[in-house]
Amino acid sequence: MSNATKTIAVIGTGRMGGAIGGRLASLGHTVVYGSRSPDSEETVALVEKTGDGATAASPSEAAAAADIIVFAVPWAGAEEAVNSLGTVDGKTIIDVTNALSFGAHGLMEMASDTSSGESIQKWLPGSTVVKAFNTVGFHVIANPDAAGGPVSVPIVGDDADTKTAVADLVQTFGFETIDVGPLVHARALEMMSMIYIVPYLQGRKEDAFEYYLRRGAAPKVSAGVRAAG
Amino acid sequence: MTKRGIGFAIVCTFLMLGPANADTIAVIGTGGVGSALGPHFAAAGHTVVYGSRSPETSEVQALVKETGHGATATTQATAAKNADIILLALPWAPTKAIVEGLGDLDGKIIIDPINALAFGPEKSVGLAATPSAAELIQAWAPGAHVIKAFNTLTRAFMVDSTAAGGPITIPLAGNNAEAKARVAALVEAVGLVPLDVGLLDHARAVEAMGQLYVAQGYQGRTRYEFQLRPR
Repeated sequence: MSNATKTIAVIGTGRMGGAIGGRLASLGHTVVYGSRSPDSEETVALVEKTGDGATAASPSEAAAAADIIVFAVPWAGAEEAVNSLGTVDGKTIIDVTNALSFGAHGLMEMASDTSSGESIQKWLPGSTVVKAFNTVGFHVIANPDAAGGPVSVPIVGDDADTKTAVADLVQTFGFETIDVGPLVHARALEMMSMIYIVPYLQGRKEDAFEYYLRRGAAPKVSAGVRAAG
Repeated sequence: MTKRGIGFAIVCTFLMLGPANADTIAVIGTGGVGSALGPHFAAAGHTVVYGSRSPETSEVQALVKETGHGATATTQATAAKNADIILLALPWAPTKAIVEGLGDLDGKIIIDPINALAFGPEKSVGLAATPSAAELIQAWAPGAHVIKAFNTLTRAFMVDSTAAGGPITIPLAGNNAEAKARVAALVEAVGLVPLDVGLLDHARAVEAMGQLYVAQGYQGRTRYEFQLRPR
């Protein structure tokens, strides 16, 4: 799918959905936002801001029209939103959502025993879920150049071809991608998002960072290496 | 606290931080991680004491000699007793018994570089410590300051960070800010880049990164190093 334009449903019209929808539309894809209230002032404003032929519809209408579904809904509303999608068998779902909630200490904590990615796959067994974009801020997705250097989007999923297709799409945004394994690793990626926002939550913006999973020199195992541990 | 008490606390803090900041560091375990980090700590001016079940063996004595800078080896409990900072360079399985055998750890800093992993069918790599190894160690040594560090890179780059082709970030999780700052200085002494990523329960995320890192090589995908690049 590398260069072909697609119809892509973006479920969720928050900052993350809006950032991804905006980039997709400017890349030539047909964006349909899926919203519980597609006629609301906020959604109409987002559609207008997105431009490039973007529209909004109900979640099930948006999903039905799409080849690919971007799922960018806060975790608290994720299951309800999944249930509103209708039949999505055979479709690719790019899960951006993190299964996090605020903990007592003011930072985030995991709110699922598994992960958003695995939960959505379980709720929608006929779809193919790939986790991506969840370790990058919406502001960086909107403008990767503002990150001041390369940014990696780690990707997990169980279907190799779908994962490659999603990686190709993510690369068109200006990110490097790296396959970090099966969907069960979504939990690790969601916890990486948990620490990504710590500098912002703690008011240490000077410590804010971007994940760069830098492909580098392969480690040389020296003759003197001792047993691991 | 009285005025005098506050003054005493300030003096103690100053002495603890110290201008030279030379610590006695017990490196518990002389395997891959201990033998990689111990020499860096010694070269940075700290007093390194290896804690080993068999400190007299030729392997341990060779490590002591290689480390130099006055490093020594003794039993695990003796090493811990005299140390300000304790590096648990251990496999996960015996860690609980070893920590419980180290004696009074109140006020000491414990560095936890452990990846507690479960290797399952079809090359799966799961996490073996719930909620995290670091939090369990903290529960076994409640008076200590546990800091998660050094678990998201391979030994070769602990030995020689310049071979990694770019900076490697070491995410640090822990509840005590001063302890975290002292471990950050040790990370820098190894040639790596420390980054405070939150409180001790965020060690869950750092351990998940270790899991990803180990699985990447084990499952045969493209290798990478974690660079948490400043914005």
